[in-house]
Amino acid sequence: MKIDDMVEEFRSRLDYLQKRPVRVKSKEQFARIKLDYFEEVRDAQKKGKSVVWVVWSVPSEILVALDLVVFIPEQYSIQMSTVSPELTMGYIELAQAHGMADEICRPHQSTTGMAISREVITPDCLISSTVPCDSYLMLFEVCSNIYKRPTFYLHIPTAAWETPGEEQVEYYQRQLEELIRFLEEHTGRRMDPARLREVAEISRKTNNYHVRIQQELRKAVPAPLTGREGISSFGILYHCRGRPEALEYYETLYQEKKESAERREAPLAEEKYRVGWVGALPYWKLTILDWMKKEHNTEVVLDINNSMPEPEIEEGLEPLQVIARRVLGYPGLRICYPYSAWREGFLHNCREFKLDAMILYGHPGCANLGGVYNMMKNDLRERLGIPTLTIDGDPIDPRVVSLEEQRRRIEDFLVTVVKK
Amino acid sequence: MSTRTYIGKFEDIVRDRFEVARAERGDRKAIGWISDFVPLEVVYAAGMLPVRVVGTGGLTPRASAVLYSNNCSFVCSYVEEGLKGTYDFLAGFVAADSCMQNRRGFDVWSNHVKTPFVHLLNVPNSVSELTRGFFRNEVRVFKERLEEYFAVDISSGSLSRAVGVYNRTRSLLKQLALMRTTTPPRLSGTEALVVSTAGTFMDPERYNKLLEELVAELSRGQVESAGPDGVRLLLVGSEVDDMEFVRLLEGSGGVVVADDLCTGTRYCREQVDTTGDLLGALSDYYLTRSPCPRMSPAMVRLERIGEIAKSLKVDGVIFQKIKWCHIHGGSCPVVKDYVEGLGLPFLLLEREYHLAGSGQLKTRVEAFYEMVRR
Ligand code: SF4
Ligand code: SF4
Repeated sequence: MKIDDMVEEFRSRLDYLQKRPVRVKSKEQFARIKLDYFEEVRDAQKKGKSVVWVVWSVPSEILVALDLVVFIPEQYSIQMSTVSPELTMGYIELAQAHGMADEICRPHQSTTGMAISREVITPDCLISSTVPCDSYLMLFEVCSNIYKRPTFYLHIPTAAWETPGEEQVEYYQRQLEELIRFLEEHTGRRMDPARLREVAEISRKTNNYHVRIQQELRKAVPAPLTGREGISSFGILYHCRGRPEALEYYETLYQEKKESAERREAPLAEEKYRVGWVGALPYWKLTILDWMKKEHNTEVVLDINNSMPEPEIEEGLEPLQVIARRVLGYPGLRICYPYSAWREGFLHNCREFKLDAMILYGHPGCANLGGVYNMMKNDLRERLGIPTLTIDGDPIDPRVVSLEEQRRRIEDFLVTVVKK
Repeated sequence: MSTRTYIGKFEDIVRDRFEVARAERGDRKAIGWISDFVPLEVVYAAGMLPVRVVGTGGLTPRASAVLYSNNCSFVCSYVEEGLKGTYDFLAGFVAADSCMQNRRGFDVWSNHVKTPFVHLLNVPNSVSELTRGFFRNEVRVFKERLEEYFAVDISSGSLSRAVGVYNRTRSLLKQLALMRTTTPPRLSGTEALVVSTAGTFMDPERYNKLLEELVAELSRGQVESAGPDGVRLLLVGSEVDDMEFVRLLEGSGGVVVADDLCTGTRYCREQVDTTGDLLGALSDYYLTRSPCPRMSPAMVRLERIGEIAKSLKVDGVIFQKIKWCHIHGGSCPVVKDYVEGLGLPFLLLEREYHLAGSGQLKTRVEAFYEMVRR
């Protein structure tokens, strides 16, 4: 599986969508963005563009403003597992043969294997970040060592007691200034302040649409978008923040779904169960969400992206302030902080989203959330009366727990515990 | 008194660590700590006793009920002791989020063990002017919270005295570390580890006295060798406070002449600078001293491993990791690559926090020594 195959994958998805009797603009936009993105990655070096490997929490706006190509190797390896599982398993084996421990997050094992095999685009430099997890930090050390390329390290200040305040925003902002200097030095690009302002403004607007989709629309009963749409919509944000096409996509998606909500139209008109899903997902079979909808009238309305309130970002801020606020306010990032920092916000959203049940998804490679699952479960039961299923699986490896087994556990839970 | 009798004193302290810590506390408050990024001097300057929170290595049914199946056995073990009430003499619990597992260990401890005062320090993973400033602020906030919560004043005089005491500890431990490097060593790796671990449960001034006696004894020059000459090893990886593990390595024909462990010599390599702003110097010391793998870039640590290996003429490197330790498990390929690049044999061992399944481990270690000797 090469980047060319990924390009083909999205080209055929786009063709398919364009030939549907009822065409949905946001879906086509999504596929188009993905297609263009993979073409950009494929052609980067031919066009003399620098490629930067980043952790997903690294703000792509900075790279977009510098006209650099953003590459998130973990996201790519997850995507690859959905189209070429055999290759993914091969990469995992290769990583283990090079000393990577079996218990490391499998997308990271597969990324390591991919890097060792050199069957992926070579980075000109890398940007690591302390959040989401240690496993990611180590992955970037390993990749930095394989490619021997300069690496920048971002530190996300995690506060145990409060949501990030101005002090944390300023600290992160100053790191972004250092990041810009690093990228200028290692890629030869120069940051144009006007361009950065423009990109940050696009990102701010995009983010606000995203926040409304996640916090406002998914809360509606019935939810106007499926769990799968809600979760997948995030897929392009990691690499496209600050680009006009991302703004167009989120604006379209928001308008489409808002209209549906106003008409009380929903993919699942009679929601028997509204469920939260925290942790990773079996990305290799996201159809599990469709199955929950179809077989059990169950919609996933809350996941890490809206697991706690997220404020919109106001106008008139400095570009780096916009970006820092955006990064530090994102629930998918804050859920990696100490539990005390997000406990109340999490319970607030579980209540507001009218959840009937919660699924906490663990996998052997993730020490990030497993340690707090028990506390979340107790809080949900004692404070909100919401039952919880803790289930094991893996984001990319079906060998860890089969799809059938995962379905069986979910079914038992819905039928015997949540039953209404 | 023979050297081995001196070492016996430290062994007793490690064995009876919970009782020792309770007794050492006296009339003071005791503050438990996790992760060696916690600035112990601040606690000591507040007139309190810092006590390292560890486990015992037994089964962890209580911890398993509140943690997840992939939490490392070190975290499970200390949480188990917390839940059992072993640490009910603590007035506070302080952790640094040096790894994800510890961060979640802190969450669980705060929620279930209910030590009156809890605090978590957030540690950057690289060193720059910016991150130094951040961590200085973290240490300042920690100091102020201690002062406010316990209504104490941590004066610059008391801080200076505390830094002096701990600097003395570090310098004594450094002298001992050097005594491991002779051929044959005056102090075995197991003994060195016993000695450094004992100090984490004691009043540092009393500990310094014991260290001074031991150093004096070892310096007299007529010390029996710590054991037979064996394969000279550098031990790296997850924390080790399990003497049986190092004993196994040394009992099978190796001698641990050096380590790069947070529970070993990494602790004593540098001193806190006492010439300027003390709180700043203290936080700088904790952030910048010999790094562990959670600090980037890895090259700083790798070069240090290389220097130790070269200067102490080690025959091989043993990298041990506690199962589910993502920091060490994830960093292994980089260390392996580097060590093998130096032409040194490398062995990866996976273990639990306290030894289990030693038969298999022994076989692997012996096979490694065989390979090194060939
Ligand atoms: S699933 Fe867990 S271990 Fe893997 S990248 Fe996400 S937070 Fe890290
Ligand atoms: S053994 Fe590893 S995972 Fe466990 S507390 Fe230590 S560094 Fe963290």
